[in-house]
Amino acid sequence: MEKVDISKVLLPEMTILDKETFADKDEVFAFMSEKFAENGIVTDAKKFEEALHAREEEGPTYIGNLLAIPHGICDAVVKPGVGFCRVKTPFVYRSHGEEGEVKYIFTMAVVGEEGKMEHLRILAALAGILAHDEFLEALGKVQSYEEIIEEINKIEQEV
Amino acid sequence: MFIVAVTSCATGIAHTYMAAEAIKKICKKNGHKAKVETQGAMGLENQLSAKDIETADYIIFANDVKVSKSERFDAYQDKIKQTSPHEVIKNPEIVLQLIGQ
Repeated sequence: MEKVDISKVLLPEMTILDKETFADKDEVFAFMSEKFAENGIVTDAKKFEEALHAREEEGPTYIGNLLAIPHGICDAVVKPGVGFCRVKTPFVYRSHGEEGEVKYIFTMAVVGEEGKMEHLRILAALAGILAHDEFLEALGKVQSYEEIIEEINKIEQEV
Repeated sequence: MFIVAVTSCATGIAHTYMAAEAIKKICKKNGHKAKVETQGAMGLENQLSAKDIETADYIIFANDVKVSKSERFDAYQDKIKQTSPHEVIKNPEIVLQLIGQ
């Protein structure tokens, strides 16, 4: 895996640890879309929320291992970004006919235009890191944004 | 064994690269050499060469969208094993099952 600086897309202000849990996926999408808008990653929270739902029609974003990776691609996305949310207690995430308990949600905002390749590469690298069980285990224990970045660096060094 | 694979998905950003990593990881863990071509938002990367495809013991397609430049694989249909990126991510052991291990 190419080494990239994930802290460029996974921002501290988009990292929410130990939030009160969600009732369902729809609540997550609305909450994260607002966060993306607040932090200038998307221009229109509603439009991005719709893009997240549109992606759900294509296939499940529930991964297993308490992880979900909803992502949306639309022209309301100004720059690619990732939001991470860890909830206090798992909730049931239903996605394209699959469901399971989720505690860790990585939401990704994607733009497809040229010139944003560097950031796309970072999103891709982060996706790769999520395939490592050790990282998911660490996600349960981290206490800060800095610790998440540290854990990412550990995985990157291994591969 | 030498395993080559192609991954792709609808948005071309998350599953494509997670699946690629999952395949590389499970192969490494089980002592197999692996090369994975990603067909995602950044185009074809880590592209499989004619030699890779010819010398591979198995070719794994973990794709949700049509494989690009699929003519490269035409002569090796018997080595191709089909799955989806989602399946590979959720259950990496499927790779071992596909190659009969």
